[in-house]
Amino acid sequence: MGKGNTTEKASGTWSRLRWARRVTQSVFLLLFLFLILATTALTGAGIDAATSGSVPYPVEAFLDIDPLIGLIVALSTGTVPGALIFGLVVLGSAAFLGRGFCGWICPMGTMNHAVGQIRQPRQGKARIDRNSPRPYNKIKYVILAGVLVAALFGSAIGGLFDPISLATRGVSLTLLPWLNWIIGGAINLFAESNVPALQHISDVTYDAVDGVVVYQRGFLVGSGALISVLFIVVLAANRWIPRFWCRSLCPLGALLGVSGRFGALALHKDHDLCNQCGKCQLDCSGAAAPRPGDRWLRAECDLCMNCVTVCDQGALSFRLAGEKSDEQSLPDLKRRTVIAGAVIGAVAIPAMRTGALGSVEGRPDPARIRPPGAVDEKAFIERCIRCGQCMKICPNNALHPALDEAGIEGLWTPVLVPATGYCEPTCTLCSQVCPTGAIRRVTEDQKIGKNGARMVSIGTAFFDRGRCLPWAMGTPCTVCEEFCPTSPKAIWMKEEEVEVLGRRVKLKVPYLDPSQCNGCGACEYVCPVHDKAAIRVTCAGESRSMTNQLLLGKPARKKEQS
Amino acid sequence: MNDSWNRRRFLNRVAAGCVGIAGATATGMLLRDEGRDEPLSEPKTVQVRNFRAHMGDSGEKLVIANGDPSSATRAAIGALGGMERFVQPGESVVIKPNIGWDRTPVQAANTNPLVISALVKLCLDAGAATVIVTDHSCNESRRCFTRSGIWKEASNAGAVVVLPAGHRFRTHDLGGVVLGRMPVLTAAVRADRFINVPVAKHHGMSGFTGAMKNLYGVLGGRRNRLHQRLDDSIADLADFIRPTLTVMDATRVLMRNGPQGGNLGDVKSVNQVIASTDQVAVDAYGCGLIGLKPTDLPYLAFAHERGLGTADLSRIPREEVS
Repeated sequence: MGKGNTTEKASGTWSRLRWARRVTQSVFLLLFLFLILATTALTGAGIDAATSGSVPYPVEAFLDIDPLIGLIVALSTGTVPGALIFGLVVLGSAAFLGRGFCGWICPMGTMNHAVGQIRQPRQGKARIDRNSPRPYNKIKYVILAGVLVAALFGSAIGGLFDPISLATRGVSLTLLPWLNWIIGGAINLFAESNVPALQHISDVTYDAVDGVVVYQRGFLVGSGALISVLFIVVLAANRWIPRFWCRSLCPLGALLGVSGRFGALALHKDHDLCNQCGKCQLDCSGAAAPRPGDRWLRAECDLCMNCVTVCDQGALSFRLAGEKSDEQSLPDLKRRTVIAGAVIGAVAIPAMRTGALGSVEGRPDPARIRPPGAVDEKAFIERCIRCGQCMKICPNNALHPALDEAGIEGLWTPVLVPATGYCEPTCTLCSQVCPTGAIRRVTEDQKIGKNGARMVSIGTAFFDRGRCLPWAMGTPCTVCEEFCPTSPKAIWMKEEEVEVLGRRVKLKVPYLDPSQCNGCGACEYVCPVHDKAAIRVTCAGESRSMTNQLLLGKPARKKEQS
Repeated sequence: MNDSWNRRRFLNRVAAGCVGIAGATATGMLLRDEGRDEPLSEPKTVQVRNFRAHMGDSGEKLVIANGDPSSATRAAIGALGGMERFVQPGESVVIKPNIGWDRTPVQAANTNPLVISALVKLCLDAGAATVIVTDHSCNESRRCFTRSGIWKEASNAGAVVVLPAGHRFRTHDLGGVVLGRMPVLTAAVRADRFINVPVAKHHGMSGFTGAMKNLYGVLGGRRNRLHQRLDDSIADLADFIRPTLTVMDATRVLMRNGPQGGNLGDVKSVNQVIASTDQVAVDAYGCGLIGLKPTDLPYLAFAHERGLGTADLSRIPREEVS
C-alpha cells in the first residue's frame, strides 16, 4: 500500500489484463461448446437436399489449431493433413507467449481453471502450498516424449492425452448424454401429462433442441461411461491441486512450455519492493514460482496475470526481455527422464501390436468396422487421435469408441456397431469432420456405388440362417431386403421350399450378394430378431483393406429376382 | 436444562413417532404391490379413426390427373369437387406423405414435395386453421424430411411439419386381425381431416406400396414384425385409419428395387396424380402402373372384403383430367 501513483496505475493495467484473460477464456470456452453442439448435420425447413449433407461450421477448428495433433500426425505419416497446418499459429504464439494458449484459450485449461478456482477449498498458506511447483509436474514431459516417439513409431495414440481431444471427447460424452437425459426426460414427462399447455411446451422444446442435445435414436455409447468417468476424474483433480492436468500431465502444455524457451515476455521481479507476503502464489495457475527469490518457471507460466494483479507492492511485472538470472527458461529435466518417456513410447507400440485380434498387425476383429472413408488400418492408427468428432456427428448413433475391437492400441478409435445404429446410406458427415484424414472425404455416389463410382464398402453382411425367420421358421419377413440401400440390392429374395417342423413351406427367403454389399448394417439394425440379429455385418471385404477381402474380382450377379 | 427430559417432551416425541410410523404405513399400503398380474387387457375400445368423407349423390370416383406435380394435384382435387368439399373452415388437417427414406425427389422413394405443397395450399385456401405434415420415417427422420424436400416445400406453403419424436406417440388399440396395441403418432390422428398422400412404388414383399401401406407411417414401435403378416397388417391399418381423401403421387414411379430405390434407371416418369376417397381403389389402380393386377395383391382383397373400398376397378367410375 502507499507505493505511489505509478504502482496503482500499473496494477490497474494488470487487473485489466486479468479481466481480458477471463473474458478471452470464457469466449473460447463458449465457442468450443458451441462447436460441439454444432457438430451435427444441416437439416431443417430452410435446407434443401443439396446442402443438407454439409457441416455448417468448422466444428473441428480447435483440433486444427492444436500443434500437438499436427506434430503427432506429421511424425507418424510424414504429412500434415487438412487444416492442421494452423497448429503453427499456436506453436508460433508460444515462441512469444509461452503457454499463454493454456491460460487464455485452451478449453480444457479453462474448464480445469474454473473447477479449481471457483470457491477454492483452501486459503492462505495451504493454498500457496498447493500452487507451488511439484516434482511430478515433470510427468507431462515424459508423456510428451512418449507420445512423440509413439507417433514416430506410427501411432497417433497420443491423441488419448491431447487436451483438445480430451475436452472434445469428454464434453461430448459427459454433457450431452446428461442434457439428453434431462431435457429428453422432461419432454416425455410433459408430453404424457395430458395437459395441452405442457404438451405444447414439450413440442416447442423438442423442435428447438432435436438433433442438438436430444436424439431420436438415443445416446447409447459403447464404453462411453469410461470416457466420461475419466473426464470427470480430470476435472475433479482440480479440487486437489488446481489445474492438476495442465501442470502435471498435459503433453500439449509441455510442448508449448518447451517451445516458449525464447519467449518475449518475462516476469520481472523487483526484490527490493517484495515483502515476501506470498500473495502472488495464492492463485498462480501454472505453479510457476512467481515469488521473488524463487526462479520463475517460464515453461510452467500460462500468463494468467494473477500474480502481477494481486501484488500490492508493485514487485512483479511482465516485461519484454526479462532478467534471465531470475528465471528458469527450460524445465529442469534429467536427460534420463526424457529418455524414459521415449523408451516407454518406443516399447509400448510394438508391444500393443502383438495382439492377435484387432491390432494393426493381427487379424481384424470382425467387429472392427471402420466408418466409410477410413484409410487402411495401419494408416488409420497413424492418424486417429480419438477426438470423437465422427461419433458425435453420426446421425444414427452408429459410431462408437472401440474398447478392444481394434486392439489395445485402438482404444476409443471409432467402430460402427450396427446393433445400435447403421451407416446412413447417403451420409458423409464423419468424413467431413475428421481433422487428421483418418477418415477420407467420401461422396454420396461412393457410399452406394452409383454413377460409376467404386463403392466404398465397410464390411459384409452374413445371414445366420438358424435365426432367420424365413429360413428357420418358415415365417415371411423381408425387412433386411427392404432397408438394403444399394441398387441393385445386395439382399434379394427368392421363393423356395423350406422345411419347418416337418412341413415343407413355400416362401421367399433372403440371399446376399456380397459384391453389392457395402456393409452399412441397416439389415442388422432392423432385423426383427432383436437381441442378436439373424443377419450380421463383419468387417470382411472392407474396401480400404488389401488383405481383409473375400472375393476375387466381382462375380456377376447370379439372378435378379423381381 | 435443555438436555433434560420431562413428561411433555417425552409425550411429544412419542406422538411424533406414531405419526411418522402411521404415515409410512399408509404410504406403504398405497404403493403396495400384491404380486398379482396386471389386468390382461384393458377395456377393449377400438379407436378407429374414421375420417372418410362421404361423396353424397355424386358417389365415389377415381380421378386420374395428368401433368406436372402441382397442376395435376390441383386438377385432381378440382375434379373431386374442390378441397372445400373435404375441409371446412377452421378445421385442422393432417397430410401424411411418404417421407420414409433418405432419398431426393428424383429418386421417387418419397412423395414429391410439390404434390405436398399444392395440397397444403389447397387446404389453407379452403380455410383450414392448421395443416400438419408428418410421417414416421424409416431412415433417420431429420435427413429424410430435409432431403425429400418436403420439410422445405411444406413449410414454405404454410404447413406445420412435425417430426416423429418419441414423445409424440401414444399406444392405441388398433383392434385389427393382427395389429393390437401399437404406438401411434398422435399428431397424425388428432386432426379433423386426414389426407393420405402416398407415392406409388414397387415393394419387395407386398409387390406394390401405395395408399394403404403408406399408413405404416403413423405407427411407432417395432414395425419390423409386421412383415410376418404384411397383407393382414396393411388391411388392419386401412381399417384403423380411413382417410378423408387419398392423393397418390405417381409423377415419378419406382418400378424396381423398391421401396427405397436409389437408381434413377429404376424410375419411370408417369406424370399422374390419382385421387379418390376410396383408398382401396387408388391402390387397385396404382399397382397397374408397375405392371401388377389388383388380384396380385392379397391386401387389396382383404380390404375389399372388409368393405373398406373396392378392389374392382370396374365398379368405380373413373375420370381422367389434366
